[in-house]
Amino acid sequence: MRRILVIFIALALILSACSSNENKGKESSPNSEGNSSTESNNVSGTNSPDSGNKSIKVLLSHAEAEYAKTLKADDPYIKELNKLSGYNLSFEFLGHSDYDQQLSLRFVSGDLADLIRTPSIDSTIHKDAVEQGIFRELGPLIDQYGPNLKKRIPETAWNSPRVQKDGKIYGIPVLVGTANDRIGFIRQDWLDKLGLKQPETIDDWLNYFEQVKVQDVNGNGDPNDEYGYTMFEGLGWSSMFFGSFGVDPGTWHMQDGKLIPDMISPKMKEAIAFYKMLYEKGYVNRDLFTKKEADFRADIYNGKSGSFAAAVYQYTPDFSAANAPKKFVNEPDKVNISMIAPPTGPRGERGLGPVSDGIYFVWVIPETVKNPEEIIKYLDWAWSSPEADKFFAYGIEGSNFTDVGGEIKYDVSAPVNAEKNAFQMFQLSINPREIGFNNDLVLKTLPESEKIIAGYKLSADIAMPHDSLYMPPLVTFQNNPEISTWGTMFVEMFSKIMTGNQPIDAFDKFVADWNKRGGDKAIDEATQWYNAFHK
Amino acid sequence: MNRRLVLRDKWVLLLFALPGLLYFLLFKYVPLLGNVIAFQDYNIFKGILRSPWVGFAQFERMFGFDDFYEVFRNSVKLGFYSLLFGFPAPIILALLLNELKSMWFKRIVQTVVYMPHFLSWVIVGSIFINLLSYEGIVNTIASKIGLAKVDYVTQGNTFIAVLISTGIWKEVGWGTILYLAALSGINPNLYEAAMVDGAGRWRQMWSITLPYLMPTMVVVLLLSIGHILDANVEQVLIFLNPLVRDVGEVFDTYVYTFGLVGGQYSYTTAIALFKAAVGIVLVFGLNAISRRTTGESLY
Repeated sequence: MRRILVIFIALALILSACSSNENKGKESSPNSEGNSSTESNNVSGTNSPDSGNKSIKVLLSHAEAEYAKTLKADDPYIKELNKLSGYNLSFEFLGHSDYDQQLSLRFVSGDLADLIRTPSIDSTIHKDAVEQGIFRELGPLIDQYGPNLKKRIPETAWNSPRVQKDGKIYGIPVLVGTANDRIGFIRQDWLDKLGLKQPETIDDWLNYFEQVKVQDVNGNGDPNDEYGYTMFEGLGWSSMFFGSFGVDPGTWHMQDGKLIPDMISPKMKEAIAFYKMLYEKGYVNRDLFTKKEADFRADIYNGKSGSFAAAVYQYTPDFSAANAPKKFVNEPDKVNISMIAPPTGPRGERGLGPVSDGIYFVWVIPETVKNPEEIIKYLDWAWSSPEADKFFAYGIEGSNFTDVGGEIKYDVSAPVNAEKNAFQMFQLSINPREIGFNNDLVLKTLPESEKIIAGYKLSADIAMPHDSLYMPPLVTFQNNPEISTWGTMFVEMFSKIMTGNQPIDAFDKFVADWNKRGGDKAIDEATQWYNAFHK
Repeated sequence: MNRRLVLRDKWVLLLFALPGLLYFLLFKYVPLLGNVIAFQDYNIFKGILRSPWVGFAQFERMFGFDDFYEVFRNSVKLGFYSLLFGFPAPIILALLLNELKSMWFKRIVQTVVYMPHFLSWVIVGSIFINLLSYEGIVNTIASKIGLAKVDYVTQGNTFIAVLISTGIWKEVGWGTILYLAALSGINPNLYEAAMVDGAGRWRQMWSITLPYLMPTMVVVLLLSIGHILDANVEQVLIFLNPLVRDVGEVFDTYVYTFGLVGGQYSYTTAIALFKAAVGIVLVFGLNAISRRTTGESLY
């Protein structure tokens, strides 16, 4: 008996010493390397107590921006921002991949800041926060103290249920800064080598894929190690051909007086059949359902991918003429990437990325904050002052850029801007307005600015219209998350058909199952919302 | 005089135990009270005191959920196979190590087999996924020697095997620690006496080593049975993909995706409570059985 006791205690010690960490989910970020989350919580900025009501504590995610992740106390950018604005701002950057969980904990413990980043005022992170009076209603304050906010932030963003409820405004939108940023990237050098022009129709694309499959386009001696098109487990991000069939698994369309998700539309069956064909013919990498994003990127850099879905902002850091040769180590002197629209489908449709409300995230101010009017005034300054415009685009004068008689000299690849991607600090991390990479002032200073601006134009052109803009999360989906758009049921069906585990007709069974499990209720709920919203 | 000393000793001992007891009270027993939210519709702003009570509604929802039995079956299956293969593995390894004559070789092997325990599942998982993928090294070699390529991580019937075997690979060395400790406690005279009596190596193992390992084995077995429905979330989440969700989704991954990510605290607490109930029943039941059959038990 004593022996057992000793063993038991030893075991308890071992177990308590080795109890494993909590798990961390993954989520892609607006930053290029949307991976490897170091959970660093950095508090910075001068934080002198009771420095009047001009002090504002900001709680947000570092969004995988390298500079913000490793922020040190007494940061020069925060200092400059405080100097220019006349406020005393301090920033706390939480980890990005588990921001939702951490924010949820903050709400539980009440350890909040003055200005808080959240995806939406009705997010499940802080369920019922609006009803419980946790967030301050901002409408009257904005009218009184923030006239420029209403002027500069477009109507489409203010109308979103992510910032207002029952006609009252509880949040201030932070903008993506463009109508759409999704686009296809294609290896222009491979096209040239094969003597092909940029593909437009589905047949053009399939021809390109076939050539890539048969020939050794990356020139490493193995004709079988490159694919015309590559994907990874983040299917929503890496799928490029739904739009050619007029559908997007995330959106809904009105049909005979009912709001129906594209997920169950007959056009979706055609799209899935297309993906199945890509898989069967070996045009897409076979291991896409287990491929991690980092490995997917490595494959691209190793010359194994002929095309892939991406976003325009990814061009400069990884695929531009200046930076691609550093990444594509096997073909540094050859690589040349073009931005391209997905193919035009059988009905003349094409598209990538749904039309959105243009909101990146939403600022909220807790009811307990004493100086909300000062916060609104600060945001109003950020949106309207020419000094702010300059700071959030180019950083600190004399360090990040120089202004010689009105002519701005800003070099994105200069060490002061490029090291640790410091430019992201003022353009993104502490910019309370928008994703600054997309700002016109920034775009025009970039190398290849014409190509990038043309990319944004093309991207806006292929944004897919739909009828579920502003649709709040459905209650039906909260009870049965598996049936939601891009839910596990859809993804499972999609992957099984694509890989040939199930015949294409399994789609019909999926639709029937989906309806049975509450899909019909979801359609009713969505239709009711649509009719109420658009009356 | 003597009695007072004994008395004082007791108090001193209790004082020693105090931090440990406080730890269990504060971090193990007090949080148990939080389980009441399984019977509420918990909202973080209302807290436990003001959230509405809903009785067994969360449990009804759980049992009524279409995939509940699938998830339950997967959890039991994974737990059962993990136990079936994962429990004997460290015992066998410990016995093998015990038979090694050369001390330095034994030490090296021991250190090497501990190593994987200290790697995170994110690393181990990515390595194995790459090794076992359709174009990974394993399949490349297999096709070179004329075997068919198998997509191990995306096929339902090989997926569980991958989970179990990577789990064993990572933890088997660590698991041997207890057994090696128990083995070193066996009196060498017993082996010498057995040798004199003409017992061979197998006989010695069967009649001396195994009986002496029995208490350790029983304790480890009973404790791991209590966790039969607990999969290793980190491991399963890394390997899980849509092609094997119907065999790979277990309670813990379900709770993770729908509870934590979806903010449904009450519902997922109900699931966790159900899991715990199953674990308690198993531990008590098997403990009683073990006490009767082998004479060894936890308490």
